[in-house]
Amino acid sequence: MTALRWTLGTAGAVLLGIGGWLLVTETREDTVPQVLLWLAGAVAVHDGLLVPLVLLAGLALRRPYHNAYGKGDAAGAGASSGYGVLRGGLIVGGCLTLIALPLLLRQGQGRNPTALPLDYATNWQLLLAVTFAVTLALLPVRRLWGLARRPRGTPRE
Amino acid sequence: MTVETVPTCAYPGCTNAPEPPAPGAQGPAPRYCRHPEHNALGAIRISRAKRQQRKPRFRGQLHDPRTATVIGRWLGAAVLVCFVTGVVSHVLQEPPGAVADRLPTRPVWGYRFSQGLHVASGIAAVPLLLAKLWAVYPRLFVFPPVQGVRHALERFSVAVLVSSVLLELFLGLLNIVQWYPWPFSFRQVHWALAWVMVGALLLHLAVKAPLIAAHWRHRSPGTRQLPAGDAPDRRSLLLGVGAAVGAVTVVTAGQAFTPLRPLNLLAPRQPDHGSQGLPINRTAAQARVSATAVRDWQLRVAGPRPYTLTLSELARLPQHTEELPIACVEGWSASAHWEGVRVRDLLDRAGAPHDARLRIVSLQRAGAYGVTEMGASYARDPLTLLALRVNGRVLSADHGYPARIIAPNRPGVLQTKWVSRIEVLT
Repeated sequence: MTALRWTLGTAGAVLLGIGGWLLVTETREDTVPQVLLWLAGAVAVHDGLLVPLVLLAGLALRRPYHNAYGKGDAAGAGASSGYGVLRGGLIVGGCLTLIALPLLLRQGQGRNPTALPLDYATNWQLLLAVTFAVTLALLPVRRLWGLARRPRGTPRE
Repeated sequence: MTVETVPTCAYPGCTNAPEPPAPGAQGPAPRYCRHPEHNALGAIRISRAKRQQRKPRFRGQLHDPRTATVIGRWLGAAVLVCFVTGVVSHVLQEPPGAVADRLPTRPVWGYRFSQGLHVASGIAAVPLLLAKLWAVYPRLFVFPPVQGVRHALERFSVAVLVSSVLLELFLGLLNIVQWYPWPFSFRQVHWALAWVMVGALLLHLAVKAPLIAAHWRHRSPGTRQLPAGDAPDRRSLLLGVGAAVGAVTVVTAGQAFTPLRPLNLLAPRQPDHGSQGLPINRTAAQARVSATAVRDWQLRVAGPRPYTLTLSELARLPQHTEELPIACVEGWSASAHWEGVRVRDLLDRAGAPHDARLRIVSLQRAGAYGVTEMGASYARDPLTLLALRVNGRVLSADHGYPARIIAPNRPGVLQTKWVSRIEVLT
């Protein structure tokens, strides 16, 4: 384990060094500060904006959902109440939106007619509708399955 | 009338009067009262404890090492696949001198596969990265923020890892829609940051190895110490993340993987959408290849026995039809039937040696790759054509009329269009 860790760590440090060297020597001279700025920007947008929004969404949804539909059994910790299905639907819809965003923003600005040829707004809406429908269809299934799997004698909330 | 302000003890929250100065003492008056814990050290201690209370608390579940380990495994696999296929692409596109003449030309779909995988694994990594970072987000607020040199180094390496993976995926995602809002060169920075990212990843794995091992299986010692009640919730989260990976893959992979073409809803290209059934990266207008430049076109072959051919002379040479994919570095690819003269035959006619490398010059006047080099393994391959026709029709202007290169297992940017000159390099 120790030998493996040292090998991994050394290899990592070497590759990191190669990357840094490529960044410094193989790019234009003003590139390094620009890249550092964009690296920091990527972290700032992710850690300062995206994650707080996701955490807030979780906070806003989880408690009311559990109040309305129950928390599931003690061992289920919410999973069998169907909250997981709702969360899964939101994750899928959110990721599809993120992937669609560059296409939606650049629609009609393709460099030639064969670049960005599809109607991405319609496709994105279609995918969100499908995600919504699948989530809605799975919710009662998951809740009933969760109830059926409840061990005998467990109080029903 | 003035309000006399009575000095109080400097300990937070204490309203007692400070200790009176000892008779005959020099220097400033004491700032704390007689209470044994009310002194400078105690004040620091209590303000630190207060800060600790103010830091965000994460009561939600699953911000735990088991969740991070499971998602991290998938993410690590996606990142490594993305890195390896990226290196393959880079070597094929800009081969180092030692291997330039020995690049493999088989399988013919090799680059189509590896570059399709590069873009697909990058897209699949997006939900995984977001889920992984969500799971470890509370670690951002560890207190105190720096606990020694070792801890500082570890946090720095994590910062390098997180920022480089985030930026690499962002750059790649925008590159496939040909959108470049940054001031630097995409290719150079994407290439350099890939090594930074993988280096930081290996370093991270080395640092976290014991933690990963302790949570590798659901019966591992570390996993067993976590609340057992979280397990079903974790399973459900992982299913949700897995569904997101599947969803983003299925709606984009059709731009390279033909069976998924009907579900190709969010890919920047539709492989059968374009003139003559193929997409185009650079049109004749974009490359500033005018009709006049093409009208009196002649192919010049420079070698030991140089010669010039008109289009009709070229068309009278033995023609061959091959089915070869055109595979773009941006991830889309499509197969087509190409018809033209074998480059090998043109070289033999010029008396070129067998190990000769070629320089191929295009009429193209704008954009990169107007002049490309072709290693000996491609030049001698019987499937490498100077194509005049595609899918049964004469090449359109946008596909490189009058003649273009098409070779097996090669990035699309090197399949030079509007070829006017082939030079034998010796």
